[in-house]
Amino acid sequence: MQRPDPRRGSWPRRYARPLLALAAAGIVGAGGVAAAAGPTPAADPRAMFGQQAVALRAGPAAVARQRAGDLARALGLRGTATGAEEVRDAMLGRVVSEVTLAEGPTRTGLIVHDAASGRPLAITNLAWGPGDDAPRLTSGSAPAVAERLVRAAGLAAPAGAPEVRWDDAADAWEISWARSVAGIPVPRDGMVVRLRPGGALASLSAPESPLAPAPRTPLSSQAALAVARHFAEEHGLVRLAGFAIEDRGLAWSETNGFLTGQAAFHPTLRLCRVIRLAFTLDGASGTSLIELHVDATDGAIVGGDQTS
Amino acid sequence: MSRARWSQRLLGPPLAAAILALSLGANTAGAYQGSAYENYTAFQACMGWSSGMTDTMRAQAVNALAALGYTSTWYRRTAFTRSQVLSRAGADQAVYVQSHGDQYYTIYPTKVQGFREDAGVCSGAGKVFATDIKARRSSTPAHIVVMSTCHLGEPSATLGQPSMAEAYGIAQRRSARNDSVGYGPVFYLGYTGDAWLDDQLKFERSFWAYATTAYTLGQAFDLALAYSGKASRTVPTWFGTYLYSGFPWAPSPPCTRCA
Repeated sequence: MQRPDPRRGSWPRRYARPLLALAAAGIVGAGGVAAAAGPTPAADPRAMFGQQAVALRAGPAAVARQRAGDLARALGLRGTATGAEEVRDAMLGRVVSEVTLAEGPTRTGLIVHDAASGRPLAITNLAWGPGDDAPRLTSGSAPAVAERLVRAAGLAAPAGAPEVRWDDAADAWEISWARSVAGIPVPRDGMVVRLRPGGALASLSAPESPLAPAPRTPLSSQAALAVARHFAEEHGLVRLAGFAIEDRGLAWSETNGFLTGQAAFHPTLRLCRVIRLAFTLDGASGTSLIELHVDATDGAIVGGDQTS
Repeated sequence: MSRARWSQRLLGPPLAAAILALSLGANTAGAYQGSAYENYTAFQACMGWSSGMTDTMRAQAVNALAALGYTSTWYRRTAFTRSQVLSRAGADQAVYVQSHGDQYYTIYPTKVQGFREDAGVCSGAGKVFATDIKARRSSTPAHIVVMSTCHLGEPSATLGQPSMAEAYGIAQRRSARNDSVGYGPVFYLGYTGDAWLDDQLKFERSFWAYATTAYTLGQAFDLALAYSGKASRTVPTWFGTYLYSGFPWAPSPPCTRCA
């Protein structure tokens, strides 16, 4: 039996945090040359991260709690659906409803639905029950349990065999199905179910991004490579040691601010050719990788990513 | 000591600190020292364009650490140097680093975990090794350490060398999620293998958002894992105490279930 944690959702945390935020304004120190002290945190911590959480009105809140409560029961999660909020995420361009599961002051889970479609996006079990760490599952038996839970959530796992691995950090088996549309991968989507050793659900993630219309004839590999090479020449990357360029193929990819300096992500994915650039910044470093998302419709670079 | 009593003990100091700071407008820098470092040059200036991603990640961390009660002084470009990091390492109770990280050869075949300084240079930037940091710290662990780099959530490649977590006094072990076993007020977040900026930004954003809204750091990690929108190729990991709140004034032992 999980012991209640009086700090979570209890008065010390709720009332201490706003005071702390204010106190932080007074305790940030002066930085060194070209360094800076942190800004004053907002009263609503989520606002610091471009999110706005609004408590739902009574009617919609009751609907959201009912929906989340039904889902929790179907998945064997503990707790009663309590707080219901709508969270508007400016950076990711999405609106979701979040419902907290709780037993008294103890939070036992969080259920996130897409606000518009009502589709479950993420379910996290925060309660740890007796037997959860008993090693009942194996890599062989975990997928069937995961599929049953996916169905119980009213979802369908993507076709194909899932990948199964033990995730130390999650203390769970991770069973994942990649999403593809007409044979083209959607790397950021798919379904991931994490199961505790005893078989209980740890979490379920089911992102399903909207897709832009695909071009009738996607940009050729040669054309996309030319776009990326031109970009690399323009920015001097071709002169770096070990420079290499590779077409990783078509993928439904993210439009993001990688080249524009704006940390924003368009929720609709576009069909792109993913061109990978590899190089080393100096001899003592490993290989750095950059991926450019070259729009398969018009050859524009609409996003990208880079390794740390 | 029960968690309830721990909680009650925690309440006094924050309220007192808040009231003091509000009434005096005091600059109590150093009370709970936090440092955030961003390698701007390697990821933006050297590339010839600005993705804004490392700026965003650093800003997120600075905001979150401030909300949790740490001073949150940050450094980048020529201010983020090896010597600056090491001059603060001994007193840091919260640390955030966004840079290149790896297990670098020191003297072959020995590899030591480290990250690159910025220093405003595109090549030959110095490395800050786990051994350097460990040499400057006492046995008191830091409370929160986030290494937003590649590879610094991995075990040491060379036996006997400290990992970056261990350099800050945080053993590479995880408490139970029900807190039946805890390791005190410590939490380390890092990545194994290559980490991609887009995923790091999303994961950390989600982690910090939950961590500053009444979830424990371990719960915030689990919630971010489920909901951040990161792709599977970037693999975050954590060490420390799952139910640690992140507040710096957490008690030292005795707390039989958290230390």
